[in-house]
Amino acid sequence: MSRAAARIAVTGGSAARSFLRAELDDVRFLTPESGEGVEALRDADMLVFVADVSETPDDARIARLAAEARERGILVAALIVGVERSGPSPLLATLREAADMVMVIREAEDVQAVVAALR
Amino acid sequence: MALTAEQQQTLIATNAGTPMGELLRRYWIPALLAEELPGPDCPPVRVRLLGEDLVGFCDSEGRYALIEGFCPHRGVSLFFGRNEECGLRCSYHGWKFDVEGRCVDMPSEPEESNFKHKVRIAAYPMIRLGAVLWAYMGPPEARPAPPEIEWATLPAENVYVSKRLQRTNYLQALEGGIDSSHVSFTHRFSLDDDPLHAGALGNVYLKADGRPRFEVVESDAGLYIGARRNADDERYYWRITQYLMPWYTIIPPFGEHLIGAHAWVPIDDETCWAWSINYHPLRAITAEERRVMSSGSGIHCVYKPGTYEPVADASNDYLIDRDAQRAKKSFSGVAGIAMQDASLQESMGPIQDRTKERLGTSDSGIIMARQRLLRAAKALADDGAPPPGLDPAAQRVRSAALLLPKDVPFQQGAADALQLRPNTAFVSL
Repeated sequence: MSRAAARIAVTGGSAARSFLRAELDDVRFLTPESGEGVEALRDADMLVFVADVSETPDDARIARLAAEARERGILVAALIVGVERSGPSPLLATLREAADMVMVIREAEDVQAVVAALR
Repeated sequence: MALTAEQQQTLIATNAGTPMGELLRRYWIPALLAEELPGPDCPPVRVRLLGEDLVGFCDSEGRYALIEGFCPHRGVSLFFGRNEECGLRCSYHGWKFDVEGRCVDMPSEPEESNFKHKVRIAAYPMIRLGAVLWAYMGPPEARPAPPEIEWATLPAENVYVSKRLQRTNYLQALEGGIDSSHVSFTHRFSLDDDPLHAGALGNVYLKADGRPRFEVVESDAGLYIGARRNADDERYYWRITQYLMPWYTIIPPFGEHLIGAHAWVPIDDETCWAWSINYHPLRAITAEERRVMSSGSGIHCVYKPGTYEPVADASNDYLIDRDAQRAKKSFSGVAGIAMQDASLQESMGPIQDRTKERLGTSDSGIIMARQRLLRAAKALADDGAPPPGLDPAAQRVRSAALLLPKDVPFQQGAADALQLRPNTAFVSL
């Protein structure tokens, strides 16, 4: 018996949107502008924050979404593109506290494959 | 969070001509323990790697060879050959092959015939580094520099190496090595009793916090897999495992004990060699440490006599001891760290169906390692891109176990500890 893929909710700014080059089955994107929150997470299995390491974090939104996700039994992950070159990144500092797992990759073109692997 | 059937097949299939098989052949491969070919003209040994049946021998001049396993004449196993006068001679009709696979004698054919010059069998370079013979099975023009992973470069007296047969695909074993969170469970009651782990302060943190948070960061050769556990109000206890492409792990150290490491090498798609290494960069291994390792402690095991197969196996339920399990002497009831791992990994079947699994956040290292392997295999197949981790400079890394302030990322707080600097101590507690 095969198992349905896990449902993933991805969120992040414009960089995140550009990293995800195509729609993926079982992956939906929450845009910050839409104000989507707990309702949009619905029956996701995992919430993934996707960002470039140099972005400025929206601490309040990240904390709120992560808390709502956890309350619903949704795993929280962060997928960051880039390397911390000059001291700690504020974005990474925020996501380290918000997420249950953090993945840091070097190339934006790999975001699509890693998100697909999380399903 | 499962693989597609196509991804799974790409990851597990290692025969020649498969994407992963071609990728793995670009690396030096731990092929034999040096003790298996102890000297010139010693008996040859059968070797099966990446689905290829081969024979290893050491010729009269001490050169190591890894050649096709069967005589091209009538298909007889060269294992039964005579290792003599700089070549391995088939016992059926006397055809003889040198370390480069050339047929150098064909006594069954007319003396004036040059037919032997037309006959050649596959031969792969094999070199000795310390206690291990390493083979290279890829294209000659792509042969990389010899490996410089720390344990391969140390004096023989600083290193202990064993290998054991595991009846699973290599990926299953590798994923076990990458999965740091199982230590808090599978090995929970073994850490305090095992002579190569006992007494480390880190054991206290490992047992106190079974829910580590993971941070996985790409490195030049593979991944840094950081697992952080709560230590006190101000600090995290970090254990940082190194994953080096394509199949190496370096375990974070336990106190001042020897460092542990593994390599998981495919024999074929349903079996692999689990190589287990302990080493110390600054001192020789003591006689007592060698004694306990050779009697199955630490990450090593007890063999069936004359083999590299563990005594504890599926046929005897890995000698599970329910009383020890109940008494909290062993979490799973199986004795020994190596066999605790092997029993659980073999229980998945030789090839776990990853299209049906449910991974969690503690599996982030596994997810990322699979992606690195898939990406490298695709890049090689599509564009001929050189695989990551072949540069010896990228292999000069260490694992670490340390306390860091909560606001310090391990990439910064442990940056020095994760670099291999010869003749320096490793960072551990």
